[in-house]
Formats: sequence, structure tokens, C-alpha cells
Amino acid sequence: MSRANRSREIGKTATGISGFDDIAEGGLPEGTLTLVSGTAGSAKTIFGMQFLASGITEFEQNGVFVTFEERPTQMRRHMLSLGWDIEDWEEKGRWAFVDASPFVDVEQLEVGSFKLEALVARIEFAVKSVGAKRVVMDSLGTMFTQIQDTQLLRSELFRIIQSLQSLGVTSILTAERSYDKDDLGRYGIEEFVADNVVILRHSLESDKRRRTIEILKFRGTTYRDGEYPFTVLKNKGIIVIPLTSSDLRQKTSSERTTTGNQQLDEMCGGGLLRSSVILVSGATGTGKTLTTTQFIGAGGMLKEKCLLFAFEESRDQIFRNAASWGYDFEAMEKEGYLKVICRYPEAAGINDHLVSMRMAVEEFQPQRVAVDSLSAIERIATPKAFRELVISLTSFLKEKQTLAVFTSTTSALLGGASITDANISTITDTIVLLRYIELMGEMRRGVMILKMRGSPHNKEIREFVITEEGMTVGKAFRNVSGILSGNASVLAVDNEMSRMKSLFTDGDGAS
Amino acid sequence: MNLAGREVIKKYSFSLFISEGTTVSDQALHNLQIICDRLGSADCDVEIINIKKNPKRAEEDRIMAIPTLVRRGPGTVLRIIGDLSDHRKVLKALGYVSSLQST
Repeated sequence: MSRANRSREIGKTATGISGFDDIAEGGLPEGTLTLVSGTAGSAKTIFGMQFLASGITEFEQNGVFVTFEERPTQMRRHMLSLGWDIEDWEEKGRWAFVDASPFVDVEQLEVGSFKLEALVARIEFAVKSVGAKRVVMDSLGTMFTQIQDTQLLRSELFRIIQSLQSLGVTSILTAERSYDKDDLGRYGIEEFVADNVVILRHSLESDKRRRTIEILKFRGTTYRDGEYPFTVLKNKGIIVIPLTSSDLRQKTSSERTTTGNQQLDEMCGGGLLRSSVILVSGATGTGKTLTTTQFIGAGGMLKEKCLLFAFEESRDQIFRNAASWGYDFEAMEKEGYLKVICRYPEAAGINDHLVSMRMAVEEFQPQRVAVDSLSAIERIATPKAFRELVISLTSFLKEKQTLAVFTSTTSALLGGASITDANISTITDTIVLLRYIELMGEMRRGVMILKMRGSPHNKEIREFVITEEGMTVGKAFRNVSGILSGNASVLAVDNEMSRMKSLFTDGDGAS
Repeated sequence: MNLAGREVIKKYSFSLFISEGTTVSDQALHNLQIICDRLGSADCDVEIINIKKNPKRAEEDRIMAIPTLVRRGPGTVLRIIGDLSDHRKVLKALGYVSSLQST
């Protein structure tokens, strides 16, 4: 890189890969070579192909694909299965292959000295013939297995890189790593390709596989640090999930709306705040699904679109339950105000769930979203991955000004906090606790608003019951302590007066 | 050495890919001449392709190294990479058995 260029920041070439250009703050550094390193099966070839495909479909930039590993016919097939017709582009002179794949059916031997000049000549020819602005070479490792003389190969690679630079193209070289550890040293080429490095991982953490992408470095220009989850979808290719929007730009709203339950609304200081995320936490059977049902029902009444992600029950079960409390979800669905997406958590990896949830929200554009339950997804991920999912989803929903309810199951029946709570309670805006209270030989239920950002709220633990009418919230538990810890006990009341008083206290906290 | 374009079907048919002006290419040309003489120059049909002028042919034949000698016939296709300095090795690969020593 010449000194004259150093003071100027390098421009970016957008890759068109969903989410990547966000973390790359524009794209790959223009006119340079980026090393895309990953283990086998890490999607690095797809990354390269997508870079070229987007160039053609979105940015009017033609491309050359230099393949050292697979034959062009195989690559065309692969890309077709992802939804891209390369052959068509080749015919139109927008895409060219340089076939440097190994000869399998031809006998070959070495006699005397040679150079690898032909490769440079071929690449230059291909670039000029389609007027390419993008070049991908896939992959470094196979290049080395084909030619034994590493010294020769390195000097040739250097010449290729120089040639690409003078041609003014933005290029990618894919390379293998082993076991997701840094391995560039193997080839001894760091000194000329280490300027820009992107790493794709497909690692195994406590029995779970997850794909992540990381920009290790870009020389002379900015990018976002860290590892980001991604997935590969048919017809869409790689989708990177930037965890949050680049700045905390989320608009807050002071507008209130109903939970679907009047008493709960009161406890929340008048209702829920728009674009807030509510966590409803409780043991199994405490009324989480009912709370969610109320929430959706309210949406229906207000003619707001509601999207329900159900990970534990089927659509029929949900509709039946709702009907038993007087909510006609069937009608809501028919009128287009309700969409229910049911999935087994185990059916896909966590990144896939996140992407499909985001896509479903994009498509349906709901005002209300419910996830029942978040704990079901927690099972299939590492704590880190799960936390990232919640952060990403929350950030995304808030950006869209969506009101969201997430349910989470506490493992202990009485009191206690679940792992879910510990991980995500700081992320959500409002926390509603539903608890069983064992009191004098009975199992009773209590609800409280543990926190609510942006609003004063009732601090009492109120008793509630579940009937055919749904949830009815009553008076606060008076003279009872230790509810949240799971050891509820009634305080002895000495005074007749205070005992009389307690009988007539109503639920709004006034005494 | 016979140039391509003759009607007569020769026994040996070669394509030599070179990068004109490079030492290895000059050596390969020189060595190929000797090898063809050994085979019987009347029997050799040689096509010289300069990849600098004709990169398209280099792509079509998937040439990586310079020089590359492609024997199109007789028999299966054979590729030999290098300046062909070891004549005996080349001739042996071509299936030419000779009692003469190499130079």
C-alpha cells in the first residue's frame, strides 16, 4: 500500500451478504484482498460465491471465480440449489470461472524447472473478459496440495495478489483452518494476505453446533469487533445476525396499552409501555400461557396484529385453551390479526430460530409479539448463545416498536429464580412474576411487577385466581413474608386493630 | 519440427504451452526439438502456444505451469510440466524405448 494512500480511508465494497455489511461497516475494504478463513463446512465457499452473486444482482459488478477445489460444473449445481443461476450469468458475460481444479483423469509429471505464470495470465484474462470488479479464489489449502513446491507457490500467489491489486478488483481468498483455531502460519503467507481477515467458525460448544463469523481485522478502515452468529438458508445464502443495531437508537414511547387484564394494567401504572419487552416468569401452571393469551386477546380487541411463537404447544392446543377462557383465536386468525408459528426447539439450531423469528416478524409486521416460552429455546443453546438470541430479538423488536411478551419457566415450584431470569432479566424492560404460594395448607397464586423501566408500578404481591373467566387479580398478600423465597409465612398479628385493618385493605396499596 | 496444419496424421501430437521470452520456455523449446528428433521429427506434430498472446487457450487447456507439454496422442492425454531437461525421462514417459544414452 503506497504512502500516499495511507492518509485516506479505504472505501468499502458491499458484499450484499445479509448482516455482514453491517458488522463490516459498509463491506470489504475496496481494491484489496481479504482472507476468509474457516474449517471444512464453515460456509467459506458460499461466502465467496455470494459475494460475486450479489455483485451481479445488486451492484452491477461482474466477477471471476477461481476454483482450486471443485470443478465448475459442481459449483454451478451448488449455487443453483441456493437459488443462483451461474450458467445464465456466464452466458451473459457477467461471471467467469478459472478452472484450477485438480486433474483427476489425466496423467501428469514434472520434468525440470517451471513457473506458475499461467495462472496469473488466466486470471487476468478472465477479469478483463467480463470486466470483473470482484474476484474470489477458493481455496488456498487446495492450491498447496496441488503443487508441492511451496516456495514457488508463494511467489506465484504474491504475483497474483499484486496483479489483482493493479487490476483494481476487490478480492477474496478462502483458506482452511483446522479445529477452528488460528492456522495461517501453516502456509507462511501471512505477510501478504494478513491485511484483512474474516473468520468463519462452526464450533461445538457443550454438544451444540453454532456458526459464527468474525472480522479479525481490516487494515486502514473500521469494522465491528467480535463474533456474530449466522446461518445459511436456502435461496438466501448466508444471513449474519448483527446482535444489536449499531447504536442505542431505539425510540421510547410513553404511550400505554393494555395487558388484556385491567388489574394488571393498574399494577403497571396504567398499562404497558409501547415498544417494551415484558418477561413473564413463573413455574409450570402458574398462568404464563394465560397471561400470554390475555395479551394476544387484547391485541385482537384493539385490531392489532399479533404474532405468537409457540415452542411448547400445538396450534390446536393453544386455540382450545384460549377458547376455554373465552378468546376466539380462530376468528382472530381468520381475520388476519393472529399468526401462530409452532416449532419444536430441537428442530433447528439456535441461529436458525433467531433468523426465522426475525423474518417472520418482518413479513407479518405485528404490533404484538409473544414467545411462549423462551425457556424451551434455552434448552437447545449454550448460555452465551441463548443470551445473544434474546439480545438480538429484543433489540430487533424494539427497533420495530413492537410490544413483546416472553415467558420463562422457573424450575423451582415455589420461589427462586430460573437460569433464564438471571441471563435476561437485565435485558427486558418489565418483569412480571407469577408464583405459587403455599399458605396454611393451600396452594395460592401471587403476581407482582418486579420491575418496570420507565414507569412507576405497584410493588405488592397480589393474589390472583384462574377461572373460566381467565385471570382475576385480587388483593395484596398482607402480613405474609417470604413469598419469593418460597417460604411464605404469615406474620403474627398482635393487635386486634391491625387485624381488623388488614381485612379491609383494598388492593391498590392504600392502607 | 513440423507445424500444426498439415493434413498428414503424425504419430505424435504435442501442444507446448510457453511464456515467450522466459528462460524455462526457451529451454523447453530447445529440449523438445531434441526429443522430437529422437522420436523422428517427421512423426511429430507440435503446436506452440504463447500464453502471453493466447491466455484463452491456457484457460481452455487448464494450464497452471509454464512450460507445459501436452501429448494429445498417441494414447491417453499426458501432461509434462517443466523445461523437459531430462530427455530420457520424457522419452520414457512417452513410451519410447531406446538403447541410446541421453545427452
